[in-house]
Amino acid sequence: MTVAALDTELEQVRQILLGDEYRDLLRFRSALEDDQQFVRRVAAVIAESLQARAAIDDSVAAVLMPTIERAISESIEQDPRKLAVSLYPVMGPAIRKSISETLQQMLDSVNQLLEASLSLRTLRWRLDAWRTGRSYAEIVLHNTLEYRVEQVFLIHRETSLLLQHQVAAGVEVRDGDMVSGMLSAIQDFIEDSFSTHEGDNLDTLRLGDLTVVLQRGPYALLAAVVRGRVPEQLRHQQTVILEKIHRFKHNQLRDFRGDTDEFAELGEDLRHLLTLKRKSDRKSGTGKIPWLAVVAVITLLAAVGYWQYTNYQVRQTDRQLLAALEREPGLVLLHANASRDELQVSLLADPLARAPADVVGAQGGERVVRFELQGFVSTEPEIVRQRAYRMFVPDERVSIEISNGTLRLDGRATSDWLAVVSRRWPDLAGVDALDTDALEVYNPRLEQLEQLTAEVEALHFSFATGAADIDPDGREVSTLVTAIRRLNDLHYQEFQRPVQLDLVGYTDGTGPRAINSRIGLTRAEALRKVLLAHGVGNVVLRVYNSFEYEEDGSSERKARVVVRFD
Amino acid sequence: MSAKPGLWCDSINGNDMLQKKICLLGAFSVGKTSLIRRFVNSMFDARYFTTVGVKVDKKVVTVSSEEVMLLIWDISGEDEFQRMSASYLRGAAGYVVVVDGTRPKSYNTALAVQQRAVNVLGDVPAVTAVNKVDLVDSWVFTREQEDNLKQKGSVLYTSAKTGENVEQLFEVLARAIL
Repeated sequence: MTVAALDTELEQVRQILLGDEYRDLLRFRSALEDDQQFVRRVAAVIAESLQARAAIDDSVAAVLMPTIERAISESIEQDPRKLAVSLYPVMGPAIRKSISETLQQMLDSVNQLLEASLSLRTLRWRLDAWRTGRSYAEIVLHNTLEYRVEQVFLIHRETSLLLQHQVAAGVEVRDGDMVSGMLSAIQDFIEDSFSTHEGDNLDTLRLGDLTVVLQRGPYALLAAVVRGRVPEQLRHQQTVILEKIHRFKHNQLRDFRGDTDEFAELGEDLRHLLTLKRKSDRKSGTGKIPWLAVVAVITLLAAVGYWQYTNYQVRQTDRQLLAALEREPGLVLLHANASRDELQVSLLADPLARAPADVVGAQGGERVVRFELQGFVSTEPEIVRQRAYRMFVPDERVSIEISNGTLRLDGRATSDWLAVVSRRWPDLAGVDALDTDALEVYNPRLEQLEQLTAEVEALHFSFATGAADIDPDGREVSTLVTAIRRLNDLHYQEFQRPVQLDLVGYTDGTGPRAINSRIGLTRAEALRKVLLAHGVGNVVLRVYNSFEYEEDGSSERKARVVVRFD
Repeated sequence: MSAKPGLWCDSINGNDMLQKKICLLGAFSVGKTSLIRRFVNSMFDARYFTTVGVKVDKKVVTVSSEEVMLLIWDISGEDEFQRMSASYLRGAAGYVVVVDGTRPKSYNTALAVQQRAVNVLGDVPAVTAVNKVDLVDSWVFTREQEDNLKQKGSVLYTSAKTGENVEQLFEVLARAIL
């Protein structure tokens, strides 16, 4: 058998064994081997195949990406206009938006710079504080808090449901779920009511110093609630976070069905947006000397120093005043209470002591001193001395000293006064002995008696030779009578009996002795008569003749009174 | 924003339960706001305040021992002069169409509104509430209309005034959504 005959036989066997299936196999082979046919077959299912694979994983995109990139770059190299025209509707608004946002940021920063450099600002705050009646510090605080991002909402755009909500510490918030819904509703309302272009979005809400900054991604919306000036970098930060969220949570966002658990881990990222800035932050670290602080510290130190100094002065003054009061006789310091305004002093004061106010006198200066006095009897020598003076009222010839409780008398004093002192000194507080050794005691009445005696005895009544008559109304008689009366009174006081007077008559030496004796007696008798006539009869009068005369007749013819003490 | 008092929270909302947005649709003055007030606050106020735009409320319901937080969008009523904005419907997991049993016109509006909701949302659960069942004397709702509505989903006869069927209304919808 030839090879060809063998082939034909084999062919026949296959036909018998496989029949129609063999024809199909032949057709499949020609379809695979014929490029035209294979292309037609794949073309029928290629779209569906890609779709099916894409549903399983991202490998289609990965595989196609380099090709598409190359294709795009080649297309741009060949004719850039083609792609530009296709992209125009997308790129146009995006570029416009980007430019306008950049411009807005620039304007914001220029504004911030301008405002920060105006030193008039502080003046305005003072004016504001004055105008509104608020404290300056309050105004400054309000103005120096540049901004604070208080809340951040991550909202699912399609359903308006809240995915994440972060709140700064201490900020009071409403129910985040409802706020999220209303935020979306407000956007819908505004966009429906006023929007003129497709794709225009509400991106800022403002009420007072509160601003809600909205930033959108394809699936989620990030709303930041800012108090104060909106920081220029906020939008950028929002965009970065939104991009990150979309990158990592793309499928979860796309397929979101109300389960927010999957977004819990985003809280940390959102919290980074909750920032706070004070305006003074800008100035820190510039190396400037903080003059205000320096001045404040110096002022404070000066104030404290001055306060300390005045306090010291006041304390010094108080010490001096109290020392003076303690030194002062008759005053006893009980206690003193010093405050900044006044000095309160409690004292025991003897009635004889000086007034405490006089003791303090000008020494106190401006210091207000208040006294609280209690009476007492002092035994200090000086006060006892004064008390003794008050009690005994000595005349100027007597001096009183007090030493060691002894009342020491010096000088000259009458016996009457000494008698009083001797009787009363035990009543004198602070004295327990009397010393009169140095005192010269005298009786003034005796002295007066002596004086009057001399006076009386000095009076002479002169006579002619042999005569014995006395003019009873003469001036000499009345002088003598007056003197005798006083003498008698004193004598009576001193000795409790009348004074005894001798009346003596004198003669000259001429003539016989017997005659002279008679004439002498007559003359004394004449004086007695006169005195009796003047009523000085209560004194004891004795009459004598004096035999004392000179033989040559030069003796005086007279009569006189001699006082007798015995 | 919401004027509802007593809803201050201290910090971040830490809820981990499922959230669903639902909408109440219908003609003017059919009682959408009153139904929500009855449902959320257990209150009824006979005075009529027209809703402008939309108001969002929330309430947690338990369906088959699972808690769901309903965010209820009270969308302003519709008539021949003012059409409901479709954008408010976006993302809703279900909706309630409210009909006023005493006003035949509200039935026609309900049909139109329902059609637009289907256009926007596709095939999501919907429940019809025929409201003001307490005013049964002035009832004009017909058997034919009821049958017609039943083809589109559950129909409940409700009264915001007495509270009749209000809880059930939201429960039925929540169950259909889950």
